[in-house]
Amino acid sequence: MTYSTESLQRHTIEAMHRFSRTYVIAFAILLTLVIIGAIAWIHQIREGLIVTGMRDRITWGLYITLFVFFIGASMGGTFVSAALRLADMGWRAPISRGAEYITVAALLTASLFIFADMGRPERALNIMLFGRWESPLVWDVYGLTTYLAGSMVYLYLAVLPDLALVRDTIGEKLDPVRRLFVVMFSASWTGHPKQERALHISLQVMTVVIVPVAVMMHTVTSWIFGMTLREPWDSPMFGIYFVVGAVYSGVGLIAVFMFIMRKLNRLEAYITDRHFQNMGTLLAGSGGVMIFFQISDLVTAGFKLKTGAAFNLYQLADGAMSPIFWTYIWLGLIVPLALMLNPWTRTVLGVLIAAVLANVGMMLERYFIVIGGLRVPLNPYEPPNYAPTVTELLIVLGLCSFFVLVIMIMMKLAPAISVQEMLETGELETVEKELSTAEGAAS
Amino acid sequence: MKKMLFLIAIVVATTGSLLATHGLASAKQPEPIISVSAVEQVDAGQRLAVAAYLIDPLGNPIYDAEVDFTFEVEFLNVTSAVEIGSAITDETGLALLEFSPTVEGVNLITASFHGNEVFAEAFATTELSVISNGRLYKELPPYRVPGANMWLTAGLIATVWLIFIGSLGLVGWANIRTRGEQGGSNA
Repeated sequence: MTYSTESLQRHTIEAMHRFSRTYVIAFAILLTLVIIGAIAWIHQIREGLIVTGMRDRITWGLYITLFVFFIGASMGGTFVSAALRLADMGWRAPISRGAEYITVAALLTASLFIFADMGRPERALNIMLFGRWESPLVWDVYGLTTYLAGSMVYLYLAVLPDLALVRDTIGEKLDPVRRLFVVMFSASWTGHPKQERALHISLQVMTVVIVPVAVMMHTVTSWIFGMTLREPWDSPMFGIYFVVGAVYSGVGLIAVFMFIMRKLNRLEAYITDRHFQNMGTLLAGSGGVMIFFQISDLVTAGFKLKTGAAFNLYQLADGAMSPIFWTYIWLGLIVPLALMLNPWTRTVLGVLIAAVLANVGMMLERYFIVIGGLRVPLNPYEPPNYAPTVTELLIVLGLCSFFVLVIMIMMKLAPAISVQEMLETGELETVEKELSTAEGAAS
Repeated sequence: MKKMLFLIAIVVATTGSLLATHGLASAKQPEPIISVSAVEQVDAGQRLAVAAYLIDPLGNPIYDAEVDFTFEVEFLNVTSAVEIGSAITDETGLALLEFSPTVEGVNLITASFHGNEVFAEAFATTELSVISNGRLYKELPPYRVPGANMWLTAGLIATVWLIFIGSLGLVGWANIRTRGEQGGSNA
């Protein structure tokens, strides 16, 4: 074992073991927001969906907007962790664990947004029992449960050796709840060659399976819209458009997570500027494809100007949706791309700004797809409007806090950097070389 | 012996009373007659009225009863009934529903009375031919992909789940087989 390995283990395990004041305060605030959100949800259940801004014409609001957004966020995790593993890109190692956490937390949150959108959530099981296979909503339920289960299995397999490491190093010092968790889930892992081989095969299989499952999930989510008879959603391109948008926002979310985790846990030695630059390149690539799809969509719809599509284009260009649309185009797409294409601004701070903007942009994009699509009148009546109510906003805030809270809890149950993967990919040696080169240059 | 006789008496009494109740219920609930009619052919999207008459076995109209109407749709070789609405019978036993079919082809409309404390359930069907009229939104008869059906999809999902379980199982099995043996990486 080299000094670097020991140092990495110490750093990651210490970060997991230590509860800083910032962590405790943030945890308390988020928990409060979750409780407030839960109270608002109970109020919504008691009074019905009338307490939301949704009505008979705008039947989907912020809940479905954020459902689509969080499904997208999960894709980034799968892309960085599994797709980069398939492509054998070693630099993913220090960020893949965070990406896996984001995937699971985002999928759990997305599922809860579905419950928030239901007037009678106690009937949720009926969709499994009596759901009609002809409905894309049923496909989405099966897709989501399969993707969630797969992501959890994938995360568990990836985290298993690190759980055993925690058990063997600081297991006795942990509080009873975490000790029980670590002992129970590390099973009888000892790092025996037979175990290593089995884990390697399982992870390879899961990596190959989870990527198409994730792509399928995002495509099916897009079909909920694309298969509804509404002209703004009437596009066969919707599937791939959603997948690329998901990668764009997901990569951005991981970059934000990397920044916070690196700062809080003082992991600058392992998550270096190079990792941020690589994430910036991914952000630029996916952002560029998003711009291409956006132009393609607008030009084809704008050229034909079919009634519903024309209405949608006008409302986006200079109508009710124009502030959201243009903010998305400029701040959500063009500015992040410009920041990431310019080597001078492709710094840690630059990537952070671009990542935040990309996520705000994608949230706005989901909003005008959902609400904008529903605003298009199917009969000659005035287009309806939608504004979320306080109850809706509190539930949304509660669920977004839940997302962060789940990641914070997971960070304290297992190391936030995969020690095993850092060793396997040789990334530990690379960061060590980087460090010594930087020290040499400084002296 | 006494206990045995007592038990037999209880069983006979219970069975008898159940049979009697069932017989009474059947006797209490005569089967009504329901008929349903609509125009034979309609353009896709055109509004039409579907009329269902509900009468008792003696021919008297049944008043204030709910009749549900369903319309058949097909997707990937699976046909199922979609509820299009319900209506309450008037003094003449008529339940009237208006709707606009959009699925092209010959489809079945079913009117169902689910029974109540007086009458048993009953249903009737009629065929409706929906033809294209060049509307913006129309559905053509379902495209049949040879061999494709929902079992294939279910099989695919089940296979994916089996892979998940198998991946976990493989690691679990290796852990069980090497329990107690010391490895190298966590030392």
